[in-house]
Amino acid sequence: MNSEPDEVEPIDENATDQIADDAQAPRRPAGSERTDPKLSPRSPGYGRRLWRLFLAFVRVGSFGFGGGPSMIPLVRIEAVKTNRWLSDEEFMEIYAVASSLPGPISTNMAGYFGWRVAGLAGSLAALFGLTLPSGIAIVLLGGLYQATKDSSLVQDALAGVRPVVIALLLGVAIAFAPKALASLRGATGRALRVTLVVAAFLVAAFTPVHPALLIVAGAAVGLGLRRAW
Amino acid sequence: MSQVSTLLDLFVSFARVTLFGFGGGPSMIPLVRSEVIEVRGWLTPETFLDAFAFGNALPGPIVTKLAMYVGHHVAGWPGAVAALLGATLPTLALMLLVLRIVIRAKNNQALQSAITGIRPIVVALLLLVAWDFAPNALGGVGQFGTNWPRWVIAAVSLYLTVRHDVHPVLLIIAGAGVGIVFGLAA
Repeated sequence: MNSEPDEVEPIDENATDQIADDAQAPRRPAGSERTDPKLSPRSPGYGRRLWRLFLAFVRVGSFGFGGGPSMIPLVRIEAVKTNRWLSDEEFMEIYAVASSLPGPISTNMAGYFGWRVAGLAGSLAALFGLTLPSGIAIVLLGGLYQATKDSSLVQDALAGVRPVVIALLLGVAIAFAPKALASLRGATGRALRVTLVVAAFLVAAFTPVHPALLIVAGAAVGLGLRRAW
Repeated sequence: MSQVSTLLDLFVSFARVTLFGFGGGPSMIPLVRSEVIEVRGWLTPETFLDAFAFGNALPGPIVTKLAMYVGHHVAGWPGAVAALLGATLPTLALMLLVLRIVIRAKNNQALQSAITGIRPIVVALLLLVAWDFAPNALGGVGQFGTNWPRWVIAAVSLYLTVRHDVHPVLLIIAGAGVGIVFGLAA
């Protein structure tokens, strides 16, 4: 059944930066060297892709317990691993933009991924896949609230799921770290980026600085240290 | 006519909440609360709290769940859809616009350098999300004596996801099962 073109090449962690370093590199859309191109409504397989987008985000919206953060690992699995619509590098960039802008992060990312791989209809398929299952559930089951409030079963299950969410988030950070720190020249550059990770985490965790400011600061450091890298 | 203006109100209210809510869905709950209870008077504080608590037990984004609940409460299913669209479309449009600009400029050397500096920040932000979530998931360090099973679940899940690439959904189902079997919330 799985007849989606699957021409993804092995991920070359330095590919993006090599392109950046090579001034003669031809212009091409981001990530196109290793992820599926965007399909237009006239492309063969477009309907199938919309359906897969919808289902992928139904899965995210049905298993992401604990609010926004719990969905990040699930979105990554669907978009990068299961369907290979995007690379980890692209995921990181989109996450950075979503964290800097207003709005729910998971729905913004879903809507953008849908757009990125299948245009406007794809955007809506992903958005509704993510939001409708739980939205319909809260409306239909809202009357059961009193029953579940006293149900230790629900509370026990959630208590077991939350530590898993922590592990999944750390797992994504661990998977991203080598890619975020990849294109360094020499030990100095590597030390700089590790410092950036640690410093940003400490500032964000222990001061009221907004994440968007950290992203701006990271960009400034990147620009400022351009020659060093 | 009044039905249409109610739907419009729902759309505008949730658009306002999400357009002014930075930092992801959960950080917008206070905005939703004041909009729904104080500005519009759609729900009583008690109903809102009940809906919020119940919504937290369900999967998926919290703001859109609340939007659909409030919308349905006020104007039935059309209301639920109007609130959902208000909560998602305006900020998504902004996101698409910004990313279009970023992607157009993708081969720009300066932008590439900036992205190189941003990537480590993304790793830090993910660690931060885990950090913020930890008290809720693991309890305080002082409660390790009673909460150690949660730490074990986290450690085992981390090993399975990093070393063996076990699918997150499987881990989530297993976590729920372990929670129920061992009565973790007690």
